[in-house]
Amino acid sequence: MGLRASKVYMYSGKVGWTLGLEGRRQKCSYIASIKVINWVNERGREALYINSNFRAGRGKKYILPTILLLITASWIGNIWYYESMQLDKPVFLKHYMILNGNQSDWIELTFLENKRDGKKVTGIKLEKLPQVRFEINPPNRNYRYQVIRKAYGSWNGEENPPMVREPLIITEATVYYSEGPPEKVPIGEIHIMWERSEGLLESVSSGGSSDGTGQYTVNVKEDLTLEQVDYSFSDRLSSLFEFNVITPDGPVTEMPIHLDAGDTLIFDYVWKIPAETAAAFEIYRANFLLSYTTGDGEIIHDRIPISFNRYLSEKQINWFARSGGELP
Amino acid sequence: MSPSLRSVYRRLGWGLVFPLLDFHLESFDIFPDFVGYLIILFALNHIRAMDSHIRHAGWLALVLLFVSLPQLMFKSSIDMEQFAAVPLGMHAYVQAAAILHVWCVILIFRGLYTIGKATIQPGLAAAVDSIMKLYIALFAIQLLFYPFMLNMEDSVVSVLQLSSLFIFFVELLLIRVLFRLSLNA
Repeated sequence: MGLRASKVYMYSGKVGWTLGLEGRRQKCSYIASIKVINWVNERGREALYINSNFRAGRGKKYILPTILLLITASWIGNIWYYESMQLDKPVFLKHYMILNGNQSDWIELTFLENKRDGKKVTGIKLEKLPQVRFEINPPNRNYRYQVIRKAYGSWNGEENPPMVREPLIITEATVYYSEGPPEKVPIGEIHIMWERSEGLLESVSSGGSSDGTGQYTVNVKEDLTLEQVDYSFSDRLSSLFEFNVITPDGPVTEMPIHLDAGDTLIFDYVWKIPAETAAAFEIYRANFLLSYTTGDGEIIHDRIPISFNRYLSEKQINWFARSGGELP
Repeated sequence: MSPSLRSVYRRLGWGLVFPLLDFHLESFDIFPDFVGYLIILFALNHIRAMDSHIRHAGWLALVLLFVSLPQLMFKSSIDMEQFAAVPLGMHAYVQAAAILHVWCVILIFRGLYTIGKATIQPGLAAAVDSIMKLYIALFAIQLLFYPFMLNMEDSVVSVLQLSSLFIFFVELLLIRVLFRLSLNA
């Protein structure tokens, strides 16, 4: 009896299957095993300060329900969290763009979509530019729960009816989904203009990095006086964008400033968009807006593109989904 | 032991091979699970009168037979890369099928133990008992950690891969036990 009880502590309640093992052990050194088992039990009792008889019975009763509870909790908890990280429907980022119809013939729209099955974007139309045909590309960036996808709308000049070449501002798109009716969705502000600029600045190099910094270098073709440097969407961007204009004599502190033919002008800029704000979900294609006078006193308005290469991080996407998945 | 019991053991062993192996040509499973459950069902039918565990295992094998039929149409194994994109219903289906399978295996071995208690070598019985305990524990770990894959893949993948690797070997051991029994019977 002693042996049997001891065995029960050791295996914390082994059932009928051990019968074979028990028989075998009896053949082995019976006394030695009793001594070892008793010693182990003593140490065990000392360590636990509890009655091992009592514990063996109770422990077994609670093992299965505890495991089942843990498994259920794991499933419920994880599914709940997974669900909380899903978007109700695809979300279009806010695009603040200046497009010159004479230089480019396409619009890029970016949206976020859940990875799993459900409501997906199947088509996009711009009411103000019905000629533009959108092609929706496969996921561009993969996150844990969402993907970023891009749609490219293009025109080739042979549309019927032809595109009216006048400036316009697009603020919403009609989006078609795989489920449910199409919807009008705000997409920011896309300014389309048709300009032919004959500037006096020759582009030398440009670059932008995903950390938000960028540079654009130009060569001055003729003597001119730089009157003013501004940038598009300056009302929105005042706190998110900083720049410096650098001449061969150093950074420009006041204007107007005279430049000679052959001078190099560097536009040095940095995007300072806080990571976890709605502003991080805005896409900018902005321009520096320059005004300068030539030697004959003619005023020229010129543009220089500002590159924008910021990527959304996993953390930002998760923040966005957690905070409701809607842009103001 | 009777020759019929010998063939029952052997058939159960072959039956369990099918759900265990998952080789796909495109989406076609070379070892369709339902064939395995069909073999198990026939084998259990021979000895159903001998023990209640076997009867219950038979019902489970029948359920599993139907549950595994849709796998003829689509691939039931889930790609780790696309884990979060898979609909929740699919995860539930795969796991429910796994639970039924493990339950069925447990019942089969319980039943076989009762039937062969008098003749099975004590060493083998003890070994099977340990294997079963390991099997259940590994499966519990698998069930516990599986849903974490929805939210935190990287750290959990290794736990799950290890546990499923062990489960694979444990099932191999169980199949080996069945063939050993068929030789000794």
